[in-house]
Amino acid sequence: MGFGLAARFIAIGASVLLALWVAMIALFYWTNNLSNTSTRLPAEQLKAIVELIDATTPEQRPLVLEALQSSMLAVSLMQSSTPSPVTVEMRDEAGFAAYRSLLGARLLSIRLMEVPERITRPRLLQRTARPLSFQVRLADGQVLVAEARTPFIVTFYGLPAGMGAGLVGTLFAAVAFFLLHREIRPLTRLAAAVDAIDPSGEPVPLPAIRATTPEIRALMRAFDRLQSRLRIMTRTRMALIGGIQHDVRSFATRLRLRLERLPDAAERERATADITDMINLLDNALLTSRAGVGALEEEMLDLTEVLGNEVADFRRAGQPVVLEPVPDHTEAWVIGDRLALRRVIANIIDNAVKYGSKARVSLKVDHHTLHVFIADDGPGFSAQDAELLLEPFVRAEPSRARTTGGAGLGLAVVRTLIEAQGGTIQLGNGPQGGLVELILPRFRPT
Amino acid sequence: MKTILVVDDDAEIRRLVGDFLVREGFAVELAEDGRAMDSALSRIQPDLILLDLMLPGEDGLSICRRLRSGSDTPILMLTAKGDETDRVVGLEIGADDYVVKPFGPRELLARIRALLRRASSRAMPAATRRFAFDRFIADLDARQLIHEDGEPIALTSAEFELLTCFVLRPRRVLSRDQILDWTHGRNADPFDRTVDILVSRLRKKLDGLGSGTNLINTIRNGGYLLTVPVRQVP
Repeated sequence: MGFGLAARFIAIGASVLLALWVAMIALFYWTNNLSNTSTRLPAEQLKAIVELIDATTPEQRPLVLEALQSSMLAVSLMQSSTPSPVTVEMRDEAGFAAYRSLLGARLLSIRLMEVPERITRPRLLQRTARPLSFQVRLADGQVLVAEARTPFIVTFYGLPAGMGAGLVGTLFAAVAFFLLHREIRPLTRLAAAVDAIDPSGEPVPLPAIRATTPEIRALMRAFDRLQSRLRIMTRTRMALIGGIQHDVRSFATRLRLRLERLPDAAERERATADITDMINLLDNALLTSRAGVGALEEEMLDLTEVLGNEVADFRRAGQPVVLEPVPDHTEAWVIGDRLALRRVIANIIDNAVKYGSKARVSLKVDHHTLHVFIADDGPGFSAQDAELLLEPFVRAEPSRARTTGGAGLGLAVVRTLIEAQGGTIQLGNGPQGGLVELILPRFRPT
Repeated sequence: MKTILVVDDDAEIRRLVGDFLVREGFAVELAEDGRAMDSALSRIQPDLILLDLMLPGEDGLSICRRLRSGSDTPILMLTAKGDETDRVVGLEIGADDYVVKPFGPRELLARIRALLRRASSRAMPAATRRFAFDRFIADLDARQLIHEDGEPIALTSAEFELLTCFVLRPRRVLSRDQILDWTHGRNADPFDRTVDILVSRLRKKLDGLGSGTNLINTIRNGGYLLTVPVRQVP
């Protein structure tokens, strides 16, 4: 199949034009009533013919009849009316009222002639395409037979001209549509596969598309290359992160060991605290960066236990944090990164204590989700704050002093981490102050 | 006087730690990598080994496993990655304790003293590599999987390798890539379905013998997970 997309589009264009053309012809015929007028001899003309032959002497009648003959009209004289069993009588139909009123009782019959060949025709064309035979009694008792045909609009098969072209056009359109559809269908599968590409996860097998256009094959190859480039990029990034972590920690270790030589104990404490802060900041940034490419180390964790440990840590440090009792029979399993989850929870509790004076932590276990609520006694979040605070470098309190918090990375990091684990975070207001809700998918071993 | 062998590739850290330990009254031997450590071990018998996790050449994990199989010398790991610490101690590696870089000298000294005390107070039990999970016991040295009623379960070598991966990392999500790395070494084909086939065969063999739950779960676009806890047994 060497058809390019261009050829396919030309085919579609051509078939559309053909279809339009057929429609125009059909419309022309329809609006001008051509199919009717050419098969139906005008009533006035029939009346004139009858009167002309009435007025003609019998010797001259063959000459007049000869003069009236044409490819559309055959006129002959018979001695009496001949009813034929195979024809259809049309005289009393509504469409022929004009003849009845003009010719009155002299009009013996209007018959639809049988088609000589045994060809089935579209129902709509059955009457118009067949010749009509008019029988009119003359004044002298003879019967005039006028057969009106439709030589020019009826094709060999009895179809109006243009019908064949329309058929060809429709066939073209159908073939083009079929071919295009065959190309489009794998594209949607390709799109789904590309959507599923996870730079740090398993490589996604792109759909195997057989017999396809060169352009689409090129697109597939491009996506394949893109996927492997993404993977290489992620691996490089992870290697870089690992390297930074290792090296910075080595430097920090040296610095930390050298600090022991510092004679001033208070100064030594502060310098040690600086190093700890620096490493924490670095860890947060690197963790976020790993979460950003989906390279977290996931394991099956009991959220009850994680919450308990975090709250215990805060309480040991003398912070006003309480964990409301969790019904102990419920298993709150979650698939997540232990470190990331701890950072998230610690960060929110820390914020609650800092801005809301105390934190109450509770866990609600639903069928498919786990909800962690962290409530405080602070001013809470206004509606626009709630969205804004989750953006990097935005803080509810405008001061940028180190004593009241970091660089405002907190909640943005929290959001990245929680979303990387399939969860969501919502900032809202509880009965006493701010209320942060973390929603995580619950894992149920099967 | 107790002797401590410090293995770290960073010369400055080696020197600083060494100086500090000497000041604290220890005999100190320094080595920059696995090979230097081996030559030091042929000369001396240290009371404790301070081992960096990330070393050029043979890495700390592999050195630790190697040391564990031959001696009871306490090993204190130095790790640079905060998130790896959980795994350094215990089942997987066999180190006795760990310190996360950057560490303070006081902290290091406290850990060293605690380990030395523990080592002298009682002989370290020989490290076994027998692990119990659900109704099974996996003996990594004998390369055998035994049901709790004593019946051995016949596993192929590849299936046992796979089981080892899960038993050493319970409740962790293991990607196909990682499993391939740990079992067959690097496989070039990222679409290799060997792991999936192995997992389904292993599942079939454990099926019906366990306590009912599916021991190995499949995690959406993640990999596989052993859902039951594992404990070391003598």
